Amino acid sequence: MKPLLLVDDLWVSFPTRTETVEAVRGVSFTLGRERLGIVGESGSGKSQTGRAIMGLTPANAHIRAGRLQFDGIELLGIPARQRRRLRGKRLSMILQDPKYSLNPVMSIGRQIAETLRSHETIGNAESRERTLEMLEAVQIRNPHRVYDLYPHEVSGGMGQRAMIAMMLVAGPELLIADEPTSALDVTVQLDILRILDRLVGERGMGLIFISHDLRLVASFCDRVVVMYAGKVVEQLPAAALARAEHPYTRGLLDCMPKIGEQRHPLPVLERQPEWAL
Amino acid sequence: MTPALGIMGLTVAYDRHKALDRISLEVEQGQSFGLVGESGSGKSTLLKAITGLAPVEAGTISVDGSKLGRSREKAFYRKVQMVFQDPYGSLHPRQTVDRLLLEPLAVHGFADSEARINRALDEVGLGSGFRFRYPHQLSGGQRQRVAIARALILEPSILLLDEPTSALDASVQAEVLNLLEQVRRDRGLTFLMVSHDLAIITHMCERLMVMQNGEEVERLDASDLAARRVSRDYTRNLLVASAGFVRAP
Repeated sequence: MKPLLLVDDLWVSFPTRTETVEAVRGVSFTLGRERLGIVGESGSGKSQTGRAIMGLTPANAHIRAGRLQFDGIELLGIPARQRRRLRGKRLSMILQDPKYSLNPVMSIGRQIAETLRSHETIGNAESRERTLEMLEAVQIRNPHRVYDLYPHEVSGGMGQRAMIAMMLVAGPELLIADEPTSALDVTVQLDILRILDRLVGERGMGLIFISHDLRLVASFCDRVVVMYAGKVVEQLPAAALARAEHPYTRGLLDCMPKIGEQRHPLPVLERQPEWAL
Repeated sequence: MTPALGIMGLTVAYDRHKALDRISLEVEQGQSFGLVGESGSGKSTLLKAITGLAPVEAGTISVDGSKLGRSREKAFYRKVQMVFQDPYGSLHPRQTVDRLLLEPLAVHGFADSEARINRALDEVGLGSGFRFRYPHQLSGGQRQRVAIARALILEPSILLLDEPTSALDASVQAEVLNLLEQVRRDRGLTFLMVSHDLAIITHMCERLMVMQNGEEVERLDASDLAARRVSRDYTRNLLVASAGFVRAP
């Protein structure tokens, strides 16, 4: 079967005055209609991998890849115009903090309707109708009221639901979620994940879930890719996380305090230079 | 014995909104006490009220048995110091580590500043090689170590910790938590620590208070929480939520 997304030997580098910083160094993986987690610490290249797939890499960066194919389309070979048509329509991305990622001077409903109208020829009444349906699908109780609210008038959890609604309203086939719940309280976090899980399941989307939280990712995804210093160090089914082999993955799992466990001092990750080679 | 930190019926109000509502707690000398709750629960407000940065409407705060008035005296800050959440925001970007550490010493009139700065940097595992660096030349974990060194340099007896590791990667978090435990042991410090993460609080503290909307939900020993002997639903929900995502069958 043809995979939904094929990433083969992806490199992203940022030239600076003195040197070239390689943020992503030869990452390869495939994605079907499943939930894939990408885990790593800050600077591991996990977000830049997601952005490269979306086509949101800053203009000064160099991207190259053996293949970067979405549904058989070679993403790096198509003109920007065609890429824009894909983005938001067939590929979309949820960002970390709704406070910074929503437009502060446009009501939530209008922002969501704008996504629809930029990808489909659709009238005002219908776009409003579909936006309200979508707000309801992300379990916003009073969609008519929320439609007219501005981002600063809603809580973080509500803002993140609105963002999910915006990203799903055009019916994408691949959704990239970059730390979608890191800015939220733990209980709200689970509500958001439940909504995401249900919608991804119902609509048969492929999901890439990017996070620093290995345990959260393992509890949510089918498969986990662990990144370190721009490379994939390990790929494994989420259920097999306890049997991870790479010392980095094991170290990450080990160094977090756990409820009901007494380990003083906590084990510390001993970074080996060969992990980054 | 007089507790190192005693709080009685503390209420903080911003206009009509009560950020803290009649909170009482006592922390014994050398103990570590945790405050857990979600955003808006008032846990950080409690730390702010102790340092004199929040409008106290009612209640008393006492340190080593002596009641604090409306304003804080210089002597208070020698005894009580704070470490903030965001290591990127809490260090002056245009001051070197040396300058940052010198300031509290100068304010409090310490003479042997050179030796103290070197000792403080050694204690947090940085070494004097970091003295003339700027914050932007340090990683997040190194910055948090500088912030801890700055808090410790006046040799306080009480440390207020406001989510000291939530901005750090998991592996760096372990290093900073270990460092905090070690300085507490070495100096017999009293900790009042705020976190949204139950695992961190049970790891670091002997006793803790769960807070919601500025009120106390319940007070527990860390061992009770670890054994899941909790009496309130709110705490139980927090415990479930911290275990991660569970897919509905």
